[in-house]
Amino acid sequence: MGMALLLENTSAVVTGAGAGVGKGIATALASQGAHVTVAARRAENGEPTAEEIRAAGGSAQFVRCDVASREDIFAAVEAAVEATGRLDCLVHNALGDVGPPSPVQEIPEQIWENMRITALRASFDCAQAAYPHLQKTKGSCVFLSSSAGVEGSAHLPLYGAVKAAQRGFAKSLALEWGGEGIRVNLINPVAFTPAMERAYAANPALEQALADTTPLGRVGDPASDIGPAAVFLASEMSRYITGQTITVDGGAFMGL
Amino acid sequence: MQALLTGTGVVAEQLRSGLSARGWDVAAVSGGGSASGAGFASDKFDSDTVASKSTAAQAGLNMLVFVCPCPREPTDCADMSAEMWAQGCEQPIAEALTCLARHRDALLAAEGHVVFVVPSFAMSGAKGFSAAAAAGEGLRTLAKGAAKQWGKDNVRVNTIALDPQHFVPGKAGEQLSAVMGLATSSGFGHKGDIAADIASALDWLTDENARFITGATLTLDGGIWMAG
Repeated sequence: MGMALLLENTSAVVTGAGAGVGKGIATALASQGAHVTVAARRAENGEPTAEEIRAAGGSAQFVRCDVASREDIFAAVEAAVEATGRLDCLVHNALGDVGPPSPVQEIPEQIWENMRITALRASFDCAQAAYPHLQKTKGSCVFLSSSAGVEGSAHLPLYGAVKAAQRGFAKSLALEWGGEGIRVNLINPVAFTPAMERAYAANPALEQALADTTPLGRVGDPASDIGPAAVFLASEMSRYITGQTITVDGGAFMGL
Repeated sequence: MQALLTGTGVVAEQLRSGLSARGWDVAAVSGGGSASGAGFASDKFDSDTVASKSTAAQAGLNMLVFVCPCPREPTDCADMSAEMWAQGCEQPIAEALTCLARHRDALLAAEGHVVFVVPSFAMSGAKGFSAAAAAGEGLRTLAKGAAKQWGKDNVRVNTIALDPQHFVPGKAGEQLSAVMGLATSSGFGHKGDIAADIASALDWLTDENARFITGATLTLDGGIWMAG
């Protein structure tokens, strides 16, 4: 007799699930039995992610979702509810282009807009879209933040600021929704993503440098390293955990 | 000593008064470092900004204080309009960015000090104040990023976190403080006086004796929040 799956008969939405950490989380949630709504801006990677999950025996659907659009976010949540009758977990992972390292006084307006819309406004929209459905299931919300949101970033100061803002927001939601049994948590990941792949290509020494500053000696894998943390936070196993940040980075940041 | 104080409300008014009493020449603006209070998107790179930067740079700016706005009444996220979210969370961060960009040259000229003033519930989260908590935490971490970049120029950037009751009056404020302080089990039992207790700390932070402090958060709430 096989082990019971942790997320059987549940339904999750993951934004930015077409690649990187979002894709890793989507596949991990599905591997534990959740029906996953792969909310991604581009069909060319969102659809293959959903197909990959189905090919592995999981349940998933792709919904085109640009988190810059409140309507798209609400539509993704509605699609999840339409497919399964419920929503148990929403994971907001999507983030716009953070731009190159920049002095704080020279951050281009377009980068501010990217961060404002995808990190700040989309967090608000995701929360409002998910809330009435999470009330019914006593479900949970997970926001992808960053250790830069705790210690600040010398390279990407605005990125650090908006990631911190997500923490302040998530803790407040945890307080507002705790009485209804809804939990809200965050993950600070470090994992190999397409963005990191590009950074490695530009600077081949970066991979070793990152590994050298990580106690566990390597950069994480989105599905097998970050995904399980999302599974845990979405599952009953974390039923007494809310308002918390789990750092999943091989020990690189221990400041929490 | 020249100070520019950005923000509105009781906290900004009392800080201005307290700093003036301590001999500071305080100019006060409502938001974003400009008299119009315009946000990041509308005025960051216009010619007026460039002109004001060069004028201010000649004089030098010893202290820039940015007070985080905060609504006086709670509104749960579920009941919040997009406009309330934008005003409560997005606009303060945009204005802080504008402020840092606009006054960097003047701060450099005087090796000045930047202080963000936030409600301490930014660190704990707050029921009914999710946008302000997000803004406060965003500003606190923006301060750290700016501190890391500007330290080499001897411009320091710090945050002061205050008792929520300074920002939120009445029962709602009392409740916020009580939740953070586990009812009355910690703290002095009063929120402190901004013009006296807080302005003095701000004065000291800008003093030469505090020259090795940057990227820090000083929680000046009489001991309500001791979690870090």
